[in-house]
Amino acid sequence: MKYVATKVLKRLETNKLRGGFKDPQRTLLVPISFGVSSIVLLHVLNQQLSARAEAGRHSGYNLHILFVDESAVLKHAFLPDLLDMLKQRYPSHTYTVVSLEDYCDYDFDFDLPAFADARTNGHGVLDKITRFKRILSSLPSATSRADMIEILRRRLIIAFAQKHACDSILFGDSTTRLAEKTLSETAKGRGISLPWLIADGSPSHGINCTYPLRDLLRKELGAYVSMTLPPLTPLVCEAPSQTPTSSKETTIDGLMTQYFESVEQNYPSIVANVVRTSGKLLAPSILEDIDACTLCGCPIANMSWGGDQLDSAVPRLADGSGSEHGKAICYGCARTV
Amino acid sequence: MPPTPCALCNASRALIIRPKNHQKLCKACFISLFETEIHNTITANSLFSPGERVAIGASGGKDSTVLASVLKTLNERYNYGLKLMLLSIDEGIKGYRDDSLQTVKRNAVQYEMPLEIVGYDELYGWTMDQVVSQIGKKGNCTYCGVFRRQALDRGAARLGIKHVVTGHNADDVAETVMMNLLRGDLPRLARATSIVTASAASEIKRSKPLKYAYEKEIVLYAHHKGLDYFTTECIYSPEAFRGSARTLIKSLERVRPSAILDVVRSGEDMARLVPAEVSGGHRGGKDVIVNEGEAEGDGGCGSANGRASGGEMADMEKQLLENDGARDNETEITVNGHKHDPNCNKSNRMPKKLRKQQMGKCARCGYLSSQDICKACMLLEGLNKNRPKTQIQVSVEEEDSSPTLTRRMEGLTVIPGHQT
Repeated sequence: MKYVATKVLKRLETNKLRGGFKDPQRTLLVPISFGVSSIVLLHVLNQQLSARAEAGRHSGYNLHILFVDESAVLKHAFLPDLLDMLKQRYPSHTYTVVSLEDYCDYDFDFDLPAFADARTNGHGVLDKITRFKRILSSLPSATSRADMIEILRRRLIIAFAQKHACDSILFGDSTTRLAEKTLSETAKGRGISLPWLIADGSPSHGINCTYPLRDLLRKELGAYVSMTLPPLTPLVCEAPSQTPTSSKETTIDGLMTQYFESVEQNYPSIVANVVRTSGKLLAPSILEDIDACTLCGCPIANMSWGGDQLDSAVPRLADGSGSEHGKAICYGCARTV
Repeated sequence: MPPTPCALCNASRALIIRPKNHQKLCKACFISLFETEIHNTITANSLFSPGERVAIGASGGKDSTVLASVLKTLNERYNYGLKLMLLSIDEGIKGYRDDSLQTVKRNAVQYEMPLEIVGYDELYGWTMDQVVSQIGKKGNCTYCGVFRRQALDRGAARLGIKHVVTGHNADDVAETVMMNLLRGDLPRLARATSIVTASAASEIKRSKPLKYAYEKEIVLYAHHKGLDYFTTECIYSPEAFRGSARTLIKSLERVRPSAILDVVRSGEDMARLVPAEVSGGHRGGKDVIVNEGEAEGDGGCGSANGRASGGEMADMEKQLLENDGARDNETEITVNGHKHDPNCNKSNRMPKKLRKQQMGKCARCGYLSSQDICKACMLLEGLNKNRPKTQIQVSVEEEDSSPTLTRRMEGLTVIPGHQT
């Protein structure tokens, strides 16, 4: 019990997010998915805040809880009861729900020319959900769709944080999740953006992202959830990890989840080792004058590459109007679209 | 339903679905495309210079056989002006290497290339069969891998050749990337993906012209060209890590065929993200990393077919746990002791992590090494310590079998003063 809390808070400390006495009050954005990890993160932070309040001390930070509603793309619907339960249990924080398709309301450049025809159906502008679903169905595979949703969620959270002037985002990813991410992004050809995706305090998109649960395995969090008083279990709602019946539905992310489930079982230290290793990768210096990818927002480091067997340099998507300056996307995203 | 025409020439009937991108091709187009892609790889990376003498590391397996065949074809077609020869290593594994060496010998005749065979027994005084009988089936791949790297270099040196090409394919490279991520081996991650690896002192450079070629396409090429190759895998136990990584890569390929190349690409990109202190060498131009010449990582014979024994992973798990334990203790004490200096323990640990590799020569055999004594000599020392008994027996019983004895003596002169 104490172990989990200490690990989390120590991470916050090293990233100077705890908020000292003299520091101004910070706002930390905590995106939650009602998965084990994000609920534990919220619980631990809430504990710290209430302990400080009891002691009459300066709290140091506020929490803004963000839930991204993905019912547009998931089979099971979002449960409003769950959110109410959460609000009852942790009443002192701000709560917001946004839908995945709301990305249109944030001004990040996302609409690729390739998706242009998803915007209208010949009669007029489509509503957000239809447009979003059309984009997804235009993608070639289940892996691509899962990848796109992942990218969108992340960008939506970051855009939200910026809009609401949050100082930092605390993601609930566990060691296991980060290791999964490392290998699946590698498999998707996005090795170059790993430092942006999984390192603490990464400067991506001009906002600090931190992963306070990076030292905790998923199974440890699972145990924690049932040990708190009262248990957090009713608050957790996770889609059961089922093996897709057809290989068409299998995604790279899903494959990695399965893989690490078994690795975590037998070799937990190896999971942690993957995360430590990828954490040592250095982000290329900004001096290199890198463009950001239109899709995932990560830097593009495209160079002529032997594996393509072509003389293609930067893969650029032709602009809808046929002008020369298309929008640059990175290698990984070029694979997805 | 009419037969599907080839996507490239539109004339012949498509017989092959390319594993890489599911393009439907006829036999002739597939073969020429496969060759052209390797030609592109060679020219784009300027792998060869005219008149260069190149040794092909030949095992008799599909990769090296295809490599030899393609290089011969391309050398004639595009006038590379290369002098090609085959270099084989005889690990001394009965029922495996002796048979595959027969294949190599046939290949040498078929491709009209000179063949040189270097044996572990003549270099080290040990065959792999003997090593295995001493240390068991676990962990012997380390010996084999370390010995093979040196043996290739020594064989090339004997031939007076400065460039060895090996048959590593895209699957192997992707596997190595994943494996090094799992093992947390940043230095190897940094260099395993580079197509050319040159070592500062031994002057023998290595390259992998098949780096972007899919294993499945290599098999298809070998099949459609009717190449003579050997399919049995090494009979000794594989590395668990490679086995695990291999299974993963194969599953990824099923989900998205491009994934293998994507992993290779990620690996190349990540190599540039590895801090220079760790990568243990300065970059010598595009995609060339000057290093110790251990590009393939430990073992790396690539025969682990998912029959992972798990021993190696379990060992590492144990070791990591111990490290963790030690670190946790250390941190606790440090935190308690110096509460106001949170960076303290960090700075204590940094130098250890980022130790730079210093290259020098092995004090015993003169081979390039980052330690005083190279890895092969270290392993040999361990082996020889337990040997005296057998050696006496050999010298008493087979007094007249002088070749064996001389070989033993050679083995001893290579490593003087091994019984310290």
